[in-house]
Amino acid sequence: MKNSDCLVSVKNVFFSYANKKIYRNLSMEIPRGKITAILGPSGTGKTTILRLIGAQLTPDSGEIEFDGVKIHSLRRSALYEFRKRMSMLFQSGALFSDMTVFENVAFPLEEHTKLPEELIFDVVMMNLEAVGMRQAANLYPSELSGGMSRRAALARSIVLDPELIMYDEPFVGQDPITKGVLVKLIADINKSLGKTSVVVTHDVKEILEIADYVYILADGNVLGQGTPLEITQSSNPRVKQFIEGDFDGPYAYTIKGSQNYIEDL
Amino acid sequence: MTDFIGMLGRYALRKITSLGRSTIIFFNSIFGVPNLKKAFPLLVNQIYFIGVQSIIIILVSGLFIGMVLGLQGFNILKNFMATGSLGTLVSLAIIRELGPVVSALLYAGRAGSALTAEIGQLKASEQLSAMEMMAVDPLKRVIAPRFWAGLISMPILSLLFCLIGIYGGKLVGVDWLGLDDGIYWSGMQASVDVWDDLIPMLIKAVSFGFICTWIALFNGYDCRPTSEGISRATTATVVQSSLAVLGMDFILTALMF
Amino acid sequence: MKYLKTEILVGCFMLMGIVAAVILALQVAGLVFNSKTETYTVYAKFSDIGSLRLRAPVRIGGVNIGRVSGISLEPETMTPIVAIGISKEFDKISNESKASIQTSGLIGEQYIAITPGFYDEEMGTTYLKDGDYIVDTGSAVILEDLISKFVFNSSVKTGEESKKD
Repeated sequence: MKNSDCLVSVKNVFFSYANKKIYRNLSMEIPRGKITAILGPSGTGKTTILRLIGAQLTPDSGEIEFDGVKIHSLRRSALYEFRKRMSMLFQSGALFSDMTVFENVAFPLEEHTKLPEELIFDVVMMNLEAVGMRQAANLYPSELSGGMSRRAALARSIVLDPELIMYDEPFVGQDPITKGVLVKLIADINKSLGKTSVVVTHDVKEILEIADYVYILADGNVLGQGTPLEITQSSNPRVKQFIEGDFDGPYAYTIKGSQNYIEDL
Repeated sequence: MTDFIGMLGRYALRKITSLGRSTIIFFNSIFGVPNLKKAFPLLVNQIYFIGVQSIIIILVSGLFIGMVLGLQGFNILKNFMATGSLGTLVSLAIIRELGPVVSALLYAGRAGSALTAEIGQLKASEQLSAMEMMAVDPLKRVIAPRFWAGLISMPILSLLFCLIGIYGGKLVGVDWLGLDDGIYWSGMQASVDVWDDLIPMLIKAVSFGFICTWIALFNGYDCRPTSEGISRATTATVVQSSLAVLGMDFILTALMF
Repeated sequence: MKYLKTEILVGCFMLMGIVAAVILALQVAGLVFNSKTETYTVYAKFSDIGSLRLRAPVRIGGVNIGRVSGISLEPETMTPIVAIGISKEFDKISNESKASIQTSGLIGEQYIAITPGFYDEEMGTTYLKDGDYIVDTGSAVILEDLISKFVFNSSVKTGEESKKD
């Protein structure tokens, strides 16, 4: 992979949070215009990598470049300019609870553009239509189901036409139909709008259908990487265990460091 | 022993860090140049939540405190044949101390705790993060209007408290216990001065508004984003603001009166 | 129009604050808006002003006619000089009038009472005007002095005597 093809590159990042080492020398590259999946068991800090890319967290050492710019060395105002070029779909959707769906989607436009009201209306409605939520424009987030609020949040995160969209666990807690809808939406947004997408998830089956490149994180480092085909055919037993969801395998299902079972009894 | 000193040091360090962080938050939210056209509706909305919705509790407590002062004052002053000083007693007690202090305590309980809970809720549901990722600074969009609204609302609530308290005292002293109306008001007018009493009262109110709102916003912004974290932060807000108000009241009283 | 109801309520709230401030200033603090042209200043020397304070009322027969506008000490004779601002509408006060410091009630605040003197042009009396001195003054009656005079029957210098100086 050539460097110019990368929108985001993570270089030798160390990060610890509350005395817990989360990343040890993590390096990864996000190719431009592709869907990159970041997989891994719960608790390996998959969400943390998104927050590091969005510069909401600062690594202990190492660098993260967005479009060739070291994002953590930017001043506050420059950082905010860069954030207009990226967006994040949060696990909960994070819709503003005191605004309707329409106002939520219009919010970034009203904050960052000087478009007239009518144009904002049109743009918002087009984006809502794209996620199939136009009928729900006047509902409040508390009146939406989980899948609907995630779709509304998706409309909000693409409304400013960002280059990078980060999805934090988009499939968690969704029924199979909603999952299918979201998978299709993510793929469509990537294909038709050409946006770079990073999907953090542990729903292996869904993401392997649409991802162009896959990273598997474990123990603060990259466990395996490659195209979905390479990953599924990997001979690494730990990758295999994760992809196939085996109960038994090298990745222990008990928390590390726990005492010997017999001794505990 | 060394353990104890180490613990003390860590505790002090943690408190200093927290003070520093809150100061940074404070400066970022105050000195951000707001876009007036966008900021004004936000400010109006927050004055509604912070100020208008606290009116009822302020008015009811003010009335009762004025009435109690009227009753107690009248009965005590009667022993000295000095019921004519009731107006002076009620007005000075309320304007100099009770008005700003009690309304600040009520404000901390009513608006301060609500602010902390609201900001904490926004944080827990990732709305603040989402805002940050949309390149909208939550300090300017969320914190600043609330801060200014608190600063504006507090003196107004205090004024209302004082006014209704004084009328509460009149209700008991004049209308029920039969003190002469003119004596009540003239005693008051002779002893209350705009520059010596009313302006210090407003200075106190603004200071209390400042400290209570700041504490509430910081606790909300800095809380752990869980239900437990929010409830702890809310409690901390009420406790810290009450102590801060009482402590600051002493300092301001010593300086101004 | 979403903010309409909120805007009205907030507007009322701000208005209530202003009205409360005005009522407190006028009704409770008894603020009177005086401009300088409405008063003229006369001076009076006292040997002892007791606890007379700035802005203390000045009365004739109990009616407020002005306020104490300044208190200073004449450097040579070390006597207190009180500047009295009198409202322009009371411009027919003889310069033979007497100013004395009195106390409202036993322990109330002190004020200046002016007892109007006679007015006779042939005798050379004039009306008080800006900058005049009131010659006939009575100093504050100090409760402690009165008590000690009464108790010890001593000839401690009292306000009554000092007047004759």
